[in-house]
Amino acid sequence: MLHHQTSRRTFLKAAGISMALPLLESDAPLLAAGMKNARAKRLVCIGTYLGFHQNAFYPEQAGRDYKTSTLLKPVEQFRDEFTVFSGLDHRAANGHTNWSTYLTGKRLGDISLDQIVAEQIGNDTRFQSLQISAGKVSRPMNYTRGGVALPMIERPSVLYKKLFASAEDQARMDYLLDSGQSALDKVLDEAKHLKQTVSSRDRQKLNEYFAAVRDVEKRVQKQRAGAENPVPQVEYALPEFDPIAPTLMLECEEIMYDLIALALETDSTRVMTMNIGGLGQVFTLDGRTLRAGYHALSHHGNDPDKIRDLVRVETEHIKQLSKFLGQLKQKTDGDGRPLLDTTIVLLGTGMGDASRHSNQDLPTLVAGGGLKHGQHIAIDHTSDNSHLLGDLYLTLMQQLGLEVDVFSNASRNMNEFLM
Amino acid sequence: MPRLAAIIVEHCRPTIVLLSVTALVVFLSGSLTLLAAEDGPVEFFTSYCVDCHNADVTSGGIRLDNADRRDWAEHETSLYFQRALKVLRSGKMPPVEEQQPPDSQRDTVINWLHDTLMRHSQSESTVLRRLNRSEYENSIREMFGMEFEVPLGFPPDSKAHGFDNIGEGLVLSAPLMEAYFQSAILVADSVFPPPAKPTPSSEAHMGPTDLVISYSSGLVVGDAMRLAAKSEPLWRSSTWATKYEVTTPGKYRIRVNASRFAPPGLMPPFPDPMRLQIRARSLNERDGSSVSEQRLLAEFDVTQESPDDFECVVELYRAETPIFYFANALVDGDSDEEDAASFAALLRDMFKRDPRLLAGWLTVEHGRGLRGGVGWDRVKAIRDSEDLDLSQVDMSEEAVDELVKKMKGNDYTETVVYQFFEEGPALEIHDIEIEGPLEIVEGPQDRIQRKIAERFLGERKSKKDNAYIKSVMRRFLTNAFRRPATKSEINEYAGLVREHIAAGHTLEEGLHLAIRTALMSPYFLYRGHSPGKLNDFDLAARLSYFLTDRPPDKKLFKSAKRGQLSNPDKLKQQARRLLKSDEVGTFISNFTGQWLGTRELADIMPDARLLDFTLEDREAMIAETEQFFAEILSKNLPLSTFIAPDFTFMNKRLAETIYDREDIEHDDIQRVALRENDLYGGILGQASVMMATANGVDTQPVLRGVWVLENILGDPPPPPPEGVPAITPDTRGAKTVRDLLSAHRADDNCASCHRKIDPLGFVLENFDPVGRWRTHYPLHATDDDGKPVTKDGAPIDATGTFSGDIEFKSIHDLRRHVVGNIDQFANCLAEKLLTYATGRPMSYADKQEIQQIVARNLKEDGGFQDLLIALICSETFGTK
Repeated sequence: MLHHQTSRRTFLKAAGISMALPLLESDAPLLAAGMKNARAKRLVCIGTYLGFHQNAFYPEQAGRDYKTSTLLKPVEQFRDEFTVFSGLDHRAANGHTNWSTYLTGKRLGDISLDQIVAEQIGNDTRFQSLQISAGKVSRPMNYTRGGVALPMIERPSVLYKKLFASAEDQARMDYLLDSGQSALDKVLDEAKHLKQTVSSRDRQKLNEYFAAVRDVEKRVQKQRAGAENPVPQVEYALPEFDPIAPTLMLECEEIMYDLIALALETDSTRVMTMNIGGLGQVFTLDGRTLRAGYHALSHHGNDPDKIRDLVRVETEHIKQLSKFLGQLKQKTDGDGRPLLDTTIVLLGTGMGDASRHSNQDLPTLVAGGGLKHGQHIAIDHTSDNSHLLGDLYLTLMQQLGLEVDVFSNASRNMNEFLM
Repeated sequence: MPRLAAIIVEHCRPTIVLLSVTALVVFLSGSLTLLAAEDGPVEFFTSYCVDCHNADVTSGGIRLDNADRRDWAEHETSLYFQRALKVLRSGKMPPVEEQQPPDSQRDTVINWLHDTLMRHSQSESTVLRRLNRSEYENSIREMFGMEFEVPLGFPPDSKAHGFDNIGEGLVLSAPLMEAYFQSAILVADSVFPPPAKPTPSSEAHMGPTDLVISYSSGLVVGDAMRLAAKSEPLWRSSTWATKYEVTTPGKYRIRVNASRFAPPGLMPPFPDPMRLQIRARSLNERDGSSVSEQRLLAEFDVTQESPDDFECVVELYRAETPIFYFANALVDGDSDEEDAASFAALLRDMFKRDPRLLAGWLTVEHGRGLRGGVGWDRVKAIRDSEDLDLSQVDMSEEAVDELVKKMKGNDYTETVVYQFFEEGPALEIHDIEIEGPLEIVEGPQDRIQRKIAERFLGERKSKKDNAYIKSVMRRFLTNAFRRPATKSEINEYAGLVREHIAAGHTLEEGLHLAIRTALMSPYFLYRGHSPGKLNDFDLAARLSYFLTDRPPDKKLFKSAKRGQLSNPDKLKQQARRLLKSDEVGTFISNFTGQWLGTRELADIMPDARLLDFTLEDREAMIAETEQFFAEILSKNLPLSTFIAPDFTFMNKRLAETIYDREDIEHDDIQRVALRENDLYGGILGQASVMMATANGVDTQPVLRGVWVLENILGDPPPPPPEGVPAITPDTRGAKTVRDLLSAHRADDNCASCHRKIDPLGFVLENFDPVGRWRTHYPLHATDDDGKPVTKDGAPIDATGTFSGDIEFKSIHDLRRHVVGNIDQFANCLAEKLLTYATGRPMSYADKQEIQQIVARNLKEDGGFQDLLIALICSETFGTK
């Protein structure tokens, strides 16, 4: 046996390997009964680490006749396709760590909205869900039912490769499946041989093994047959470099949005999330280099110069969202309907006011998904009785056909505003 | 209350076993004969027991009217009759007020139960035992000498009999087999990766605007990127190309065009050459990594005001990019004392040289808005204003002292550095060229991979293909199967490789396939293949997975190969050697994590009103328990140490927030002597255990009571009757848990178990849900301003009468009771250890042996390590 101290152990990163065999993703959970009644079929959740400056994000008036706020200007053309919410939160404690409650509800580490939805609607596509980030991010956004924080794909090239395998990748996948078949034959023989020498209880135990191997064989065969439905090919020109430098975060965000739209269009997955970072990067916008980093700007202390620059950066996020919504309106699903009609896009954050690290009153926007839009829903978050962000999530899940009426600390819904 | 429900489900074992055909055969051939021969137990049970223990009246959850129709091969049946045997032996049954059997009949039935239980114990061997997740990971790490983790989404293992390494609990499901299929590809790729295509040489040209600025690491002024800080986090001081990343490891030529910017004026002078460092960093690392951790590639002295070329040829590896750093810059934005002092001195120097600058800083409004270029613009505006009247500004020494004291932290360094960008001294980078790869080299990842492959392949010497493949397979399969591979196995695997090559693939691809195959083989995935007494190899594997969570190392394997392990001295020697290894830590955390439940801590988030709980708190709590266990084990301390020690482990935070001590200074966990009258300490008083047995919000005495019976006293109560509702805590504090549980004492049926359970729970009530000592229940309310406040509610009453006759007044009484009956605790712990080690619940016969071992240990004043070694040498340990 080779014996090594942990510290001396060599570590091989399985870069590019995780793309192998996408069909063997994971255990398929039960499909909810109500799924057929789903009015929306896809969910995209975007989270920004530093949130949005509330005064620039929230319109002054509530209701349908609100005057477009500074930050909402770039997305104004889709006014009837989205709803903006103020005053929603999870009643979670403040601080950086609790940013990650954005999709989990009150308790950090509980299963996140996207994963609940993915369990139910993610099983007919190649990927149950995909988690990506723009920029290096410091907080996780997605948690499995077991409380495991999911890693995010930070390189557009890796996401692209995962979604649209090249002929070369496809050939290797086929090779691994074919030769894997002979590996399975061999171990089945071994198990048969072993079965003759063990006790009757062990023979029963080995039956599990036989059943499991045969099941995998079936899936391998099914996937090989899937060669007639090869991985989709798209025309998209990725830049030659991965825009992962901090100052290129906005460029990265733009490419990631494009790839999300392509992933949805090719029905590679129906649940996607993007975590948008926010560290010290100093952006150059319209040829002007800002006089402080993004993070420093968010700690504006109500300084008007900083707020101006902060809102400049945040405007870029909304411009990109707008471009993305435009793509979803143009692209169509299998039935020829605009993707946006059946895709819920949630833009939100776990940070209510980055200047104070407050996790209350979280700026939130929901677009598409066949919901009734066009309003600013203003919730009084200081009232004990008011709606929680989880209530909104319940409406989103119900629109996606999930039969749920409890999410974290929320047990109502906001159907009256959106349906 | 999901945790309570889970415990009850585990607790509710099916006690009624239907008669199966096989059971009937076993029964007919075995016990019935005995029954007929000796006025057997059926008649005894009918005469003395079934009035209270039948299908309708199941006092204590026991019925004995169907004793002749139970499947004795079932572990549960055995446990059931072990309880019956226990009460018969103790004379507690039949109750004193009922008719008593003559002693001879009682003895006959006792003997019959003993014999029958012993005989059926043999059928309780460990079922084929699959590697659990961590055993699987460790096995692969050891086999290939590499780091390995299963991919995310790998199916979790389920627990049985309290542990996640028990044969019957380790099911092999279809999703798990798929995960093995995938994971085998990852492993094989690590040894023989698919070939990568090298990129052709190219030339990249970067101007100042193609470089990263983060925080206040640099500023583009005119045609140059100016650097002026030497802070340690690279994102506060360095710059690198936004669009350059090495994909092929190789030699690269880097040319930098740089100059000095230090015009004469009021800023501090810079007489030395400016030191430009070029370092290599991986883009896969955090942007906030330390500069000094990045590989130094070249260092240049920049001495001219006019741009000059600096060139070097260096090695760069995959995902790397060169970073540029002004190593002797004047601004140091780091927060440690020395750096902060140097920044303060720099400020004083600047203020002395330029009183207007000082006045600017004294006058400007300080606050969060004052950061970065925005902040500097504001100071500059005051400095350069014609209206500035120096006589109006208090520039006294005290004012300067106060100002310099205030100017600490990133907000200030990020602002001050902007003045350096604009007025110098700063280092200017005009442009950068990178050309390559001029020559391809082996990068560190390639080197690691090559070593793994070389280790796997061994030396070829002059072997022919076939002989060579066989030699590789012999070594590999022997490692994978933890025993010498048989000739036919070697031939079959070599055949697999040869056929693959014959089908047009390379040798590496053939071996890749052999690796994938063996990692799905039942000989790799399962252990304990042959029945009865373990052979040397199975014994070696049982020992090493027990104590180190991984396959046998070279020394142990060699010892097995020589047939030495059947010799108890050799076995002991190996066990003691493994106990000294670092890997024993895995055993300690796996075992205590499950025995004492500290793994549960990951799922419990304490009520924020109780404690501002952090991940560090959780780690410290678990570390206390693990190091405590490790100490008792390595120092071979007596078993009673677990309960009543004079030491524990803690760090500053744990000491202050949980244990109310202020004399611990270090953040590292350290051994701490308990003081007289300390209420915590030992496993019946550690924060981790108390937290694991509560739910983070409130305590539930029944759960803790059951926990103590199961895990400390080894006397698990029978399952609770069905349909008993969970207790809802009264949050208004009007009733204590004790009031709510009073029903247990009123109802005879409940009392039979709860007279043991409840007093154990009550006596632990002084420990709150995070293990802090409390004298009152908390009463959460809001004050007049609506802010949450916590007040003292009802006082804690820890008293109780355990098992009908043992008075508990405080936690000390419980500890005294356990120490006074230390054999009971020692038996419990020994059973848990052997359950964990053998992967099966302890049979009646196993328990008999354990009792003897424990008794000997206590008689000889042995320590915990002695006990563990004795258990390893037991027949129970050495039998499948």
